[in-house]
Amino acid sequence: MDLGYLATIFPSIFDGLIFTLIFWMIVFVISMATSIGLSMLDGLGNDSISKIISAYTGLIRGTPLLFQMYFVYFGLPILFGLRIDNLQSAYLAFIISWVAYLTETLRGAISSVEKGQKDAAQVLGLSKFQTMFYVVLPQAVSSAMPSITNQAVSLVYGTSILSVLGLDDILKAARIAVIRDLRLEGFLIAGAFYILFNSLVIFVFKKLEKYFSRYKFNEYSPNLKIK
Amino acid sequence: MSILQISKLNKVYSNKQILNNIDMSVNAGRVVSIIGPSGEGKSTLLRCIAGIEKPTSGEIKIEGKVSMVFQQFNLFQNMSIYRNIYLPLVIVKKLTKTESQEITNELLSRTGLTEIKNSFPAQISGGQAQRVAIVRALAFDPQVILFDEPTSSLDPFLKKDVLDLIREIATEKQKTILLVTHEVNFAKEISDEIYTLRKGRLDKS
Repeated sequence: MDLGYLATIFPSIFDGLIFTLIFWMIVFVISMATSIGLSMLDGLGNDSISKIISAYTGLIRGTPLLFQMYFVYFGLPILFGLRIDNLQSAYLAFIISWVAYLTETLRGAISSVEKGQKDAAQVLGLSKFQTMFYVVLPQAVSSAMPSITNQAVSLVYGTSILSVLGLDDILKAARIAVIRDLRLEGFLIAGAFYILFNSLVIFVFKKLEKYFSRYKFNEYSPNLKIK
Repeated sequence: MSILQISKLNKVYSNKQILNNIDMSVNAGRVVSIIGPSGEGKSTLLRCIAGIEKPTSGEIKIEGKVSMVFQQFNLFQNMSIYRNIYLPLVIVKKLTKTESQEITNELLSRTGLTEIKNSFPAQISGGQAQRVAIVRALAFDPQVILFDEPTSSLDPFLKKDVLDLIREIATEKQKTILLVTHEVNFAKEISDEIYTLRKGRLDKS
């Protein structure tokens, strides 16, 4: 192992890791917040709103992320004369895509919350919004946590196409080193960074899953007969 | 004085008549049971009174507030026992945090539930969940409390506790109680009046 060579390529790939990490965090936080808002809107029971949300998620989930990124970067200027740079295009395309996937995940989880929870909220006088915000959504997020974890990991993988728009992600810095020097170490460092990144994401989300598992039924569940 | 008045109540689900011209009058402070086989519309009647289901036709008049204790208790699974009682007082009844805390703590203490106030519903027993559900209903100080099959999820020992608790609510707190059950003996022990609901029709026993 040529440590001197590793030391020369490490900083640029590490910069790529930091860039990718920040990009991931911004996309995930905005997408999660937006999808919570959309799934709450959907859960309030307005048919027209639900149809619009279904159309959006269906359209986005039916096309690949790379296509969406190209569409935003090349298509928006042509269609609307809207000029946004490559980083803004990447943010927009990723957020549009992950909002669709996370919204669909949360919608399914919301519909799986027991009807009795809503009945109790109604009898106690909670409004539809209060029921959704205080009762249904927290339980939906709890049951959706494994899927949300998968989406978070998928987002890490997804960032590997950022270099298509010339952005300095992990893979771009590694690829430059490999092509320039005809040596594989760049990819090895990139691979290690991806594994580290994913391990960190999985660690954090497993903690969250454990936190939310307090809500889940167990053998002492009041919904089971006590013997 | 009649606190609950039901006139010509009908409920139809996908062409099936669940409730058929129900007339009923309940006086304040009474414990009234509705018995009958499962699937005959007892819970539907209760859900109509609670406002969860809309009747197909007919009228329900209630003097004051109504609260309900569900068969499966329906405690909010994502909240601690304390918060199950406290939160509705703050966000629905618009009490101050201090008032809500006082009411919650007092009710939990009087029903022996203080020890489990930080537990979640999934972590407590059926008997405890039943009592929490009753406390949550009482916290709103309703005039009428509806009980849907209050003993169906409990073992025989806990049934006795529920019986005592319902009696206490009726006598000491002067609440009107309407409960549905398929257990005739339980209904006889606890009720001032008993009705039978069969094939959608309500008859006084």
